[in-house]
Parts: sequence; structure tokens; C-alpha cells
Amino acid sequence: MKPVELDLALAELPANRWFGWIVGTLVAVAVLALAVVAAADAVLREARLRPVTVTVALPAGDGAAEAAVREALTRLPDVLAVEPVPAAELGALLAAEDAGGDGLPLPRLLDLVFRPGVDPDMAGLRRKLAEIAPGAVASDPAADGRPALARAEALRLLGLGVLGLVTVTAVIFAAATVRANVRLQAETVDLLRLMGASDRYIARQFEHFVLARGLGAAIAGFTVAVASFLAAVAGGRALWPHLLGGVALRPLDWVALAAVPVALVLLLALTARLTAGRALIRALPA
Amino acid sequence: MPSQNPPAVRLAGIGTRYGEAEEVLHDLDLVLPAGSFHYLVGPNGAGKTTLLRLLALSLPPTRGRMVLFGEEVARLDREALARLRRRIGVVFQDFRLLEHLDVFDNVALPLRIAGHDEARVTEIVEEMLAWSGLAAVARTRPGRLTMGQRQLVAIARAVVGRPRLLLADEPLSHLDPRRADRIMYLFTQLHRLGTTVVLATHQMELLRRFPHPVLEMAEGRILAPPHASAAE
Repeated sequence: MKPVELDLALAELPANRWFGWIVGTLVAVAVLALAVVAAADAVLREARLRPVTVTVALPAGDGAAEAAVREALTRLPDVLAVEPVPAAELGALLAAEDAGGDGLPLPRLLDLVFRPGVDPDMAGLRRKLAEIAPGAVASDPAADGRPALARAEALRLLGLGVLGLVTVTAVIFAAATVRANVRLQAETVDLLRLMGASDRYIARQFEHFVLARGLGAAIAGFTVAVASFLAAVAGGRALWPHLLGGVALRPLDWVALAAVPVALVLLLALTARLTAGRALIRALPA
Repeated sequence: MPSQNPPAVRLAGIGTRYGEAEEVLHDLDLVLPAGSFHYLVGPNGAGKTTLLRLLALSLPPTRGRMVLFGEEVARLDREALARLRRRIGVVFQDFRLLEHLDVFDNVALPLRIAGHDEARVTEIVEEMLAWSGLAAVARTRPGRLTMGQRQLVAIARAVVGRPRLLLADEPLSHLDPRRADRIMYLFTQLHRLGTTVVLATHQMELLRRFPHPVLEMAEGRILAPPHASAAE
């Protein structure tokens, strides 16, 4: 059976020739942006699950003083454990750095293990150390991970920003397309009206056009975006395994990504319907 | 055909203009009983097409009162006007066919707009096309038809929904005599079934061969109450 054609020649208008490409591109950008958000979330989530360790270097001293310091540090909020770094490990570290000077007293190192997800109060810790063990030095636990986490946070925000921008662009694009089409198709719209077509009937024509033309383009855009994302992650893992090694999207993330083309096309269709309704009232008084 | 229904058309003191231009219809008073058949005649520029546009609710009156099927047009909202327009069939002088649709879909338009299901649309349109001799070109686009065939499509589209008011502007101008007779037979049948018909024409022999009351127009006015073209 031959499919029913739209009464308005929307598919044949030169102005609509790029409609599918633009929808496909918008969907691809939106899917990539959401994928970046999901990946950044995965990095941040993983970081939050990892216990935070602060290494404290105590000046050389006797064992009794070290025990007192350990005792005091254990009582700090969110500290799960205070573990001395074994002398052998320390020696190996120094040997690796080629700094194991003979005869020099080795500093004693303590690992403070904080609860996962906690951002240790380093200023408070240093104040406490100055009080109980003058000369002790605490490493900054986030010094290594901070740039990566900051990048992940920035990427997350960027992704959300792009997603918002694509949404706004899609609405503006659909509204502008429909308004232009109402003008270009004024004669046909008037004819349909004379045959008794309601504003809703005519607006549905625009909606159907957007759905029919947009959905295929959206699926294509989705496919391209997912393929690009997977390729980028695979490439990134090869280049920065320590950074992206653990990045994996959850099933829920994939569902959200798959919902993007559908949601965007529905948004376009809704915008088309509402804009057409308003444009018809403005262009054609009752 | 006498009727107990309110008149199909009642115009009182109607004037209308295109935009800011001078008034083109002046002080029209007209009553067309439901189920009547009138010819609309007059020289070019007399206002025939404008009157048909007014009755088709394509052009609003700038003054006066207009009542169609008992409904005061000025009081109707957009939805009600759309419903009222579905009861009116129009054969445009320039056909106004949709070139991107084939003959079938052009004729089906009023039925789809009226919300008929596709099976019913197909049934009615196929019957209409068979009757009007257009079945063979059902899947042809209007651009590939002769002028006569295009006019037939325009007529088929106007009557396919069994309108209560049929407005036809020079509907037979491109038809050969045999086809013109066939269309006049169709209009007469619709008229007998209760459709009010207003047919604007320059073809005076039509008035003699198919006699109905005549509305004569000149300079935007109806010259006299309807008079018979011949005994009906």
C-alpha cells in the first residue's frame, strides 16, 4: 500500500533539504556530550570509591613519640587507619630515588587512610601535626589525582553545557524551520484551511514531517556518535591507560544515550506543532 | 427543492475589500435557500469570484452580516469556522491542485481533513475517480494531466465530501461538451440530494440547457433578485 503523503510539500522544499543533516548532527553532538558526561561521572564515581591516603613524614625520633602521634592521628575525623610505612618499603623507595644516603636517619612515614570520598582537611591536619609532632610533613593526597579529577569535572560540566546548548539550538531550529515553512507554504495552507482543515490538522503536518524526516536522521546521528565515542575511548585507553583504564559506561548510561535521539526528535516535533499553531494564528486570521 | 432548513446563505449589507484597497462588494443582500441552485453571471470584474471567496469563508466581510446554515459567521471561533468550511466545496477557477500529490491524494484531501478512515477514503475516492473518468490517472501527478483532466480533479475534490454548499467558479471552462454535460448532471444530482449550488459562469448556453435561477452581478453588486434562466 502506498504511504499517505503529507498535504504540504515539506519534503520537496529546498529549505528543508538540510533538515535531516542538521537533526543528525544535533543528535550526534548531544549523544557525544552525554557520553562525555557519563564517562566523566564514571571517573569521578571511581575516585569517590577509592580510600584517600595521606602520607605523613615524621622527623626522626623515638618509637614512643611515634606511637603518640599515631594515637592522636587515629582520633581525627574520617580517619579509618594510620599505618606506618614499613622500613623495607621506605628503603626501596629511597633506593629507587637514589637518595639513600648512608648514615642519615630515615624519616618515618605514616599512611593516614581516610574514608572513601572524603576531602581531607589538610590545613587542620597540618595544624594538628605542628602541635603534636613539630617538623612533620603531610603529603597532599590529591596532588596526583587532582588534575585528572578536575579535568573530569570540567568535562562533565562541558558535556552538560553542550547538551543544554544542543537542546536550545534544536528548539530554535525547529521553530525557525516551521515558521519559514508556514510562509513558504502559505498558499497550500490557505487551501487546506478552505477545505476545513483546523489549525491542529495543519500543525500535525509539520509534526509528522519532523518525525518522519528527523527520526531516521537521529538514528544515523546516534550511530555515528556512539561509534566515535567508542573509538575515542579505545584510543584514549591506549594512550592514557591510568586515566581511562577503568572508564566504563553503566547499562543505565547506555539507556540514557539511546534515549537522546528519541527525546530530541520528540522535542523537535512538539516544538514544530506548537510553533505551527502559533504561526497559523498570526499568519491567517480566522 | 423546498426546504424547512434555514437558508444556506444569508447576507445583509455585506461589503468587502482586499486589504486596504477600495471596496469590491457593496451592500450585498442575498438569501440562498438550502438546496437551491443558482448561476452567478456578470462581466469580468463584476465581483463573482470575490462573492464566491466570501461565501467560501476565504475573504472576510468588512461590514454587514453573514449567516451560513444558520450560523452567524462573525461569532464563530477558528475551530467552528473550520467545521463550517468542511460543509463547503469549492471548485477554483485556477483549480489549485497540489502538484506534489497525485490525483487520488488530491481528491482524498477533503475526506482526510474531515477525519474519515483510510479504508472509507479509498472506497469513496475510487468510486469518484471511476465516475469522473479519472481512474486511469489516479496515481498521476496533476502536472502531467490535460487542462480538462485537471479541471475534473478540481471538481471531484470539491464534491467528494458531499458538501452542503458547492461554490464553482467557471467549472466547465476546459471541458469538452460531453464531459461538461456529465459534470452538470453531477451538480444537478447533488442539488437534488440537498446541496446548495452556486455556479459562476460565462457560458450562457449552459443557462438555457440546464435552467436554474440566475444571480446577475455588476460592479460589486447583485443587480436584481434571482431570476429564472428558464423554467426550472
